[in-house]
Amino acid sequence: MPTPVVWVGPAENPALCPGPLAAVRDNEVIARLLHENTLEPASSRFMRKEIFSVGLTSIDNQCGTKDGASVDRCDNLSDDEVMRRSQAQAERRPGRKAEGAYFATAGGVRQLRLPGQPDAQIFRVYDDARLVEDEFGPINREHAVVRGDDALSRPQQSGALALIISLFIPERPSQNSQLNLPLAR
Amino acid sequence: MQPVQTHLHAGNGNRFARNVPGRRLGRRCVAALVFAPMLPAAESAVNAHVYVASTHWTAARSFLGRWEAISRMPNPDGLARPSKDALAAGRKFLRQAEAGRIAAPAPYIDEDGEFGFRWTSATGLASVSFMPDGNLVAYIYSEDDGLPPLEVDDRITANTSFNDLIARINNLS
Repeated sequence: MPTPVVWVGPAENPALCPGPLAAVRDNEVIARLLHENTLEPASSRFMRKEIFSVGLTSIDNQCGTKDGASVDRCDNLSDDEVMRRSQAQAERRPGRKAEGAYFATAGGVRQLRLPGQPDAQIFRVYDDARLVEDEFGPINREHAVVRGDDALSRPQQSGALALIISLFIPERPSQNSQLNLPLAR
Repeated sequence: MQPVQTHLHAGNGNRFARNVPGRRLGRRCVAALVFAPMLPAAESAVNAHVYVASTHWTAARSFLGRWEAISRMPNPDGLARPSKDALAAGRKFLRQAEAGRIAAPAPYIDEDGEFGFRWTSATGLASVSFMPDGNLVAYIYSEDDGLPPLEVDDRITANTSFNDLIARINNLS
């Protein structure tokens, strides 16, 4: 099983981890589970350090615990299951409240581009099935991670974060609706 | 020009109410899995959940007030808080931006103590961030002005001017 040795080095297909779902397809809907600190509801939906590997001295590439921004692959999940996942995730740390989820297609995420850089893919979506329950969390065959290009400068990271945050919406997109984005050129 | 959506919505909360699970039976992985009670915005409410559309300057000011209050509180959750200096710079930026008659932003904060403001439109985007290391980080681009993206990563000082940032944000249509 090939494992990536750099942050956004490996191809997104074929799959990096064993599991029934294989690589994340472009037309798959992925969900970013939301929770809020009980003191602060304006928390950013994606954090710079988790999506761009800021401050990491080593990279966890183990299946199920990969570093990156966690998302869930939705095609086999019911509404109630997504809800339960949001609540379970929030309850893993005190002082958090479940907020549900926002959605995008994996292809939409992969198509995001910074202005003037039409050939530079910003974000990768890697499969990351968790097949055993451990201290990092329960079994999660639908787990995946989003990683952003760690070569971007901090201002470029900010632009990329604005793009991906505006892409994720509170309603499930149709599977091809987020392709050909306005700024993806 | 619209601010980037946060997951906080009151002004458009009815949109979510239309999409609550159960209204679209049989649809998978749906829709609006956002628990968003329809509460009014509140100024400097520290322990209450405040849901605002973030499309008005009063909302942006309200968030900054919350963060200033939170930064003075004990830190039981171990999360980083923005520094007093960063918050003061953020307040100054907001004041000048509002005076510059640009669209109101969507505020955000993260667990590292970074906070800032974001805008997106069909033809551009802007992000102005106040970083835990004391720097101002900004990225501003508009297809309409024909300029390359403005990228800033500079130390915030008493002499830091936001005029160029605000002028560029004003170009977003």
